[in-house]
Amino acid sequence: MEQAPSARNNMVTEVRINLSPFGDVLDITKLISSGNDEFDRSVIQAIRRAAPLSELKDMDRRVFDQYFRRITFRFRPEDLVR
Amino acid sequence: MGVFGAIAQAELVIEVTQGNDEAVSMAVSPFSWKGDQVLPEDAAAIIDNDLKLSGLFKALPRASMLSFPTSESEVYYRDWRVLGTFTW
Repeated sequence: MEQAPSARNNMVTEVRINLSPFGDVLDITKLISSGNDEFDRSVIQAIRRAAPLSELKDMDRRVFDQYFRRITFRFRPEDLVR
Repeated sequence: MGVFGAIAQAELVIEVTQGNDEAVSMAVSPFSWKGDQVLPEDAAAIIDNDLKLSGLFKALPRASMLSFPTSESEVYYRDWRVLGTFTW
């Protein structure tokens, strides 16, 4: 994932996604904004580009239902040299 | 008296703390095919996409390419250096 140029360390964007058993991202909800729109957008774009997560279709259905139907991503860059 | 058990859906939280600013620029020249039948897939586009998805490479769009070499003898290195790509 490329970092947005204005990103700073310790910004946090948190999004929640719902997945289908085939790994399609059904929806993305922003829970916490970093305060930087460009960074928030880069997070959503990264998730959209990663989809579909096709390995999920080989997963045991109960494991999928219990752990992978809904995932929260917390993007908190620590590697920015700024 | 009944005993109720609830299986709460455990919520998975994934923290992403590092990105990749240094994707290697590369170009995948369209494959040439000298057979009679049309190939069902654009193999160069598939390779392009797979490498890009790894996060380690940044592909040059086909529309930006100055030439389409199909063998090493056809590679005119200046075409690629001008575009800033790393030639394999």
